[in-house]
Amino acid sequence: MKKGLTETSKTGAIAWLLQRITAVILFVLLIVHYIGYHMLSKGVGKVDGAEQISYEKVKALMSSPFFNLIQFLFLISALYHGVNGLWTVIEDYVSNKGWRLFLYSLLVVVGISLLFVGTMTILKVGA
Amino acid sequence: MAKEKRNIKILRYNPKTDKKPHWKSYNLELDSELTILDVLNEIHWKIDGSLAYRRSCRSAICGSCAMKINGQNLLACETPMHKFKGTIKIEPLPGFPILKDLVVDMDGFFKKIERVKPYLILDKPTPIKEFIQTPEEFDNIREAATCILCGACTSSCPSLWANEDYLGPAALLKSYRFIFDTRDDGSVDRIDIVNDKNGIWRCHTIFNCMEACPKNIKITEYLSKLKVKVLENTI
Amino acid sequence: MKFNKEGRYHKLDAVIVGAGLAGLRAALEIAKTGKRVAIVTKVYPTRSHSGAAQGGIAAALGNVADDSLEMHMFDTIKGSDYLGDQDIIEFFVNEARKTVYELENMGVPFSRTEDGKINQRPFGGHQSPRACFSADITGHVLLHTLYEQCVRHKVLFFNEFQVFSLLIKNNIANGVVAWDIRHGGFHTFHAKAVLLATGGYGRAFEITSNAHANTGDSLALILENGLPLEDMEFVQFHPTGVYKHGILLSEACRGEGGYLTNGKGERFMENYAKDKMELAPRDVVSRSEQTEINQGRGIDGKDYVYLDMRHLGSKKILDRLPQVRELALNYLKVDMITDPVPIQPTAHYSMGGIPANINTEVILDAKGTVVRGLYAAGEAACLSLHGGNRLGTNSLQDAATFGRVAGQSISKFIAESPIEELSQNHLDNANGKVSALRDGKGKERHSEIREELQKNMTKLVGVFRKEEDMLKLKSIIKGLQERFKDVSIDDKGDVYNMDLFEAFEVGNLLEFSEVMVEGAIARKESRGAHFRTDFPKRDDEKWMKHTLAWKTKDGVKLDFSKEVVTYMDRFPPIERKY
Repeated sequence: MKKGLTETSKTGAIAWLLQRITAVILFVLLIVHYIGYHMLSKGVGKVDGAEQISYEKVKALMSSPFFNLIQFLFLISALYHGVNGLWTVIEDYVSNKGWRLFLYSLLVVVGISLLFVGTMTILKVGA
Repeated sequence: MAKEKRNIKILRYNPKTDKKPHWKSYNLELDSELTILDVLNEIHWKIDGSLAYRRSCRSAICGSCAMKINGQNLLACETPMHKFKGTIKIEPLPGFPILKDLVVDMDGFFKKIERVKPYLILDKPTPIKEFIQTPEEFDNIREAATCILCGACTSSCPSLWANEDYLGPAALLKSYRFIFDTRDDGSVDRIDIVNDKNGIWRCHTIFNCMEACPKNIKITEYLSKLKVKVLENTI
Repeated sequence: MKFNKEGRYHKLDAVIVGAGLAGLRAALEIAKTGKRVAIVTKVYPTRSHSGAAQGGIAAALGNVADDSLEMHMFDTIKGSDYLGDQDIIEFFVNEARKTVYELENMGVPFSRTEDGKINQRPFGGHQSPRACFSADITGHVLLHTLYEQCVRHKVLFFNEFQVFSLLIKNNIANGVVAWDIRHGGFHTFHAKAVLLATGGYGRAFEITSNAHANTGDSLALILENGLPLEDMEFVQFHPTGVYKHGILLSEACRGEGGYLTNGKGERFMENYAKDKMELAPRDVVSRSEQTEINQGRGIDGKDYVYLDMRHLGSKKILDRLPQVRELALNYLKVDMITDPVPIQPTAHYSMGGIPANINTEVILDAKGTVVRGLYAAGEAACLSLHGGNRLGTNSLQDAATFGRVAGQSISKFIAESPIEELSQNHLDNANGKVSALRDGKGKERHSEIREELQKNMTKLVGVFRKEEDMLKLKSIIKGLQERFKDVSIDDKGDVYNMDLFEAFEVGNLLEFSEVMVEGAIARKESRGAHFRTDFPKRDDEKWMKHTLAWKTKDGVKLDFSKEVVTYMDRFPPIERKY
């Protein structure tokens, strides 16, 4: 029996699937992030024998539209994964209806704020 | 047999006289080889006949005597006293209404099992002899078929404590047992039933059920397989 | 019609007491015809003790080696020590294969051969691997599958109801009265037919593999109604009970190749059953074990021997016997992969029971006169299929096959019979029993009486029996019956009053135990599981007969006029060697 996407999402199936997909994205992009910022961006000399990360190189990297797209995907995935995860934790462990509603609202507000702040950071630093 | 002194605390409740459950303490001299069920029997037979609990087979297969012992859901019959040091606290399975003392109302639990159509459904004619099923295909359902419906898993699930309409691990495992049975033709219906926000998707992979299962069934793993199967069939 | 105010009334076509394999199979058969059938059970159906059967269900499928109906029949007859009725055994083996295929088609998950057929393993007393199995949880999966099918076919379940009286009027059974354990109060189940399928009654013994619920309640109800029991002296002791606990380690352990060893480390079965060794029938193996123990060759001279599985290796043990291994680990802290397991004989199966004919109709005399509307199947019944000793895996087959037969007989009976009206005072008997226990002013505790009975039954009418022991036991039981009249219980409440139903059960144990002992005293021979040290030989001249026993005001009345059905041309009695 095939069902439309909207209908399936009511069951929680899509949420579950997205949680898995974002987990994979996070894993891959975390490696990209690490290589980009922590390995390729080195080169301003050593402190205590360890190579330091260069501001210039990081800035250059963040000006690349392609890398920004990746950064944005990273942001979206992390937010979805975190918010959805916390959402289910609240669902399971907060039985009081009032508290649950409050925490859900808080989660949405914090999520949107972080999305805004994150997006601005990606756009501004690169500009 | 070596004897030892033990303090046993039991959560008692008599619906006729008590407003809510209360702890009662028993100080006993017991053989150290006893099981928790033996200890309950000792109290019930020798001290207070009004203590109520369920028990039958004594060999961990009937599923009657699941209860919470020192914070864990266990079968009283197969749990030796020497597993614990000092005081032993015995309570009814959490998450079910208490009828009396350690006896809980499991009607709701069995109703949920019934909701997943827990029986082989056939469209094809039956063969003259047996259906052919490979050892590997049998292995897929073997562990799930070991479930004794004791309720230890369902009772340990936080998702169920928060939402009592959730089918719970035992009913979902039962649906797994039939959906993954190569002989069954009723899985379209069954998948439709578990594909619900109070069905398989309320399982948040907390693993409590797996830890609580006295038959060591890898419940959470089977439920994860079930999720993939449901997705394959619905998207 | 007026009823006691606390009575609830249910009008049915058939009522079945007991939700084990036999009861469920019968209910399914009746429900499929669209009739109203209810199961009344002390425990939730899936808690029934059929579920504890581990090793398998017998049928000559020939899936892993050559087998035939003739071989199955011969093995069962020889296993019964020629006390089994051969017409019943013939019918049984003819139906056995159909029963297994039917169960498989209903959804029972069986272990499989490489080519996908039902797998079979060797079992004691069977010359071919005949035990169809599902790892070591065969009874469990059969029970659950049948329960599931009953749910599907809308069988009515009254779970946690204790039957206190069996209603028979004008020699026609018309229902039962049962106590609602969870809420208190009586319910009347008024029906055209009653099936008694309450299973075994090993709780009369101290060391037993039986569940707490196996107290033979329906047997006591039969005696109370002036009806007889059959072959009650035949109680099987299983060789591999967990030491001190009595719970069972499946015969599948030996079926898969396990050894039995004594204190000297010898495989002692060599001295008792040279050919079959550990796979001789249970009565033979239990006696061998007990002899080793009695002659001081137990482990460290104590009262147990070893079940040694180590040579099978962990893979086979984990694959074939995972639950059995868990049991030994939990109860004895012994891992059978690395260590031998202490075991002793344990009271396991009762060959005797409520006499019934090939249609499972209950009979009331040696001529085979039936009680109309009354049926018995499974371990509670005695058809007599297992005679003096049952072979492993024939019991699940018995319960499933004769459960179906009972369902068919009952369906036929209810289609052509009117319902017999209830007597005005049908609740009196049950009411009387409950108030005697609840309002009793006596000082006796039922648990003490039961413990004394169990201890003495194991000691005095166990694996080996002799007259002087049993006479002593007889008077002990008399004394306990007297004391039982002064029992009172602590719990006076209605909700889940365990004290009440346990006390009732103890009364039942005392009733049929007396019959068991009287039968054992009277049968002056050794046959199957009944072994008399004072009469150590089988006596075919005098004792090719069944025991029928009634309880009367003057004690137990015995009748030996029911002859064993023997096909002298095909299976004449021969010496039983393994």
